[in-house]
Amino acid sequence: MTSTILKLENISKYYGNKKALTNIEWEAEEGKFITVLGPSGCGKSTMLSIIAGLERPDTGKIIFEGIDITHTPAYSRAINTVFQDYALFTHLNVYENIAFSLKIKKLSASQIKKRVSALLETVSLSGYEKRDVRTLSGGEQQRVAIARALANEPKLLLLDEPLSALDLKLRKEMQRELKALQKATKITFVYVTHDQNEALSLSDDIIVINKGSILQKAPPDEIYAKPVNSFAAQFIGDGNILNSVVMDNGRAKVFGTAIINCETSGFKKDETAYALIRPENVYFGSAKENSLTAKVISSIFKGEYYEITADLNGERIKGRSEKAFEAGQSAKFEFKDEIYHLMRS
Amino acid sequence: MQFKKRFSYPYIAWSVLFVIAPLTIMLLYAFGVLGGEGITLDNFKTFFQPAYLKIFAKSLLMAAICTALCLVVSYPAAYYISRLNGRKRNILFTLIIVPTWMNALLRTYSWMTLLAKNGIINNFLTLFGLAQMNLLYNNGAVFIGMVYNYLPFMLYPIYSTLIKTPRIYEKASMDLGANRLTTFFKITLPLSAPGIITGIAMVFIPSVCMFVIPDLLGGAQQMYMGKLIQHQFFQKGDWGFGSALAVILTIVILTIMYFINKYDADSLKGENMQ
Repeated sequence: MTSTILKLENISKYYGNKKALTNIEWEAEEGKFITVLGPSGCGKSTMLSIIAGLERPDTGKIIFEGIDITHTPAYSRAINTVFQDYALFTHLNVYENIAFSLKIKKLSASQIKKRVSALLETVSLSGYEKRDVRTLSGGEQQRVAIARALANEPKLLLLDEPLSALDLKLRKEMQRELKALQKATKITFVYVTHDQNEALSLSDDIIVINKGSILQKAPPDEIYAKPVNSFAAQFIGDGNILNSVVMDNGRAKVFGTAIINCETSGFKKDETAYALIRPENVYFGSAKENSLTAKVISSIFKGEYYEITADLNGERIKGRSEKAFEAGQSAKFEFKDEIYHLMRS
Repeated sequence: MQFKKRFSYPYIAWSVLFVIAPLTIMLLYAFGVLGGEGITLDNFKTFFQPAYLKIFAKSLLMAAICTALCLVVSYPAAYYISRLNGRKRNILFTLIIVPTWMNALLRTYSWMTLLAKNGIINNFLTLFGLAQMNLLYNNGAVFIGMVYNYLPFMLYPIYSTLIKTPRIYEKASMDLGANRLTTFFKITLPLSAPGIITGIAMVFIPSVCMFVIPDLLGGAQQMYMGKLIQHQFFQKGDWGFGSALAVILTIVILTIMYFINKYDADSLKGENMQ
């Protein structure tokens, strides 16, 4: 039985006349890994600051473990943050950084020592106690920041684009470790990122946010398969968003002539909509009679396949092929037999 | 590289002419090579008399108090200004800097008109039937003048470290459970240590050597190190002893600054915090 640990009710935030967040509503179940995904400047970091208590919302409430904490100062909340650039205290060493919150809690020296050693072990940095934080690599600083945020045993851990400063290889490694850490500690993570792959691979739930509003909140597979609109579709994964016309009983027309199977419930006949077709469902080099022909724009080798981008009557279509094409060449393509997702906007 | 080196020639010429040469001459006078009968330590021995040592101690103490007062007054102001947003911040900061564009001597004279027996403050007091006070020609007047004069030199470096330190550190501290006061003492203050150190250096050194302000506001009977040195050169004509005093002062100041800087470097490493 899971319970709601955090609930945001109608949160809005303005900077002068500029809206940073509008009517944000969502809740987090205890022990879940929740990712807030959106382009930079969409308000996701502001939302995190509001949850942490470092900024006040202009409207709305934050309910944490059933209690309204909207006006509780940051230092009284059982919530900790891993900041984007880590914000490690440069005048303190690794040990002192991690021990910071424990010293404020007035734990005994031996308790602090024990706890810091355990935390350093958790983040695989045993023996780093005396190190100057400024001499650490990005990955090491990241680990110290995580250990420091975990020291207080928060019920909720906020992570503000924690991996954005790391190189790709290290980022992948840290993703795995974070996921493992979250599973082991059972702490609820709220993880802010603009990296869709990170969101897809880490989360139990993804909240897609744009221009200060939530577009969709759903598990990764659902968001991937059934994005609420074309923005969410473009933001999660690679996708062709094609103009389509709804036909009767589960079919729609794309490119004027091609018929695809769609989930049409909620749509009227002859209504125009957008069909989402992932590139992995578009096969170039088709030999079928009823396949469409497009003009190849680019053909990029991806290892297992070639990624083909082509143009058909002014609409772009991206798909895969077993062989390379020349730019400018005509290529036939077909859609895999799937039930595709339709969107109104 | 070779070409760029040439840019430093004017500076080198300047410092040879106006720093190294005078210092050398001063050393030669202090050790009796110039103006004396050959190498001797007599000028230094003269200094180690109770009367001179007392003046020296008094000067150091006064400079220390002046520095401390400047620090206590400037820090909250610098902190407050650094937390304001753009426009207000610039206006307030300019208001603090503008007085330094005026000659220090003029500003000291204006303090004399304020504090004098028939000055503005006393006239104001008599207006309300209060007795006149002796505000001028005492240590209090000297402190007022010195603190007033050196305040911007303390405020500026503190202010600049405060605005340069990212606010995220304070946020992180609050996030980790420290309230505003604890955050200030554990994060803001230690991170602004470099500014404090620079401020101390910029106030302490000139205030040990200062002679104009003590002379004008402290009156004739107050003797300070700067005044004593000036006295040797211009009243007594004892260049040897004057130079020896200057050498001693230089050494003491350099030693003090060495320890302050060393403490600063240590505190930045956090070695004294654990």
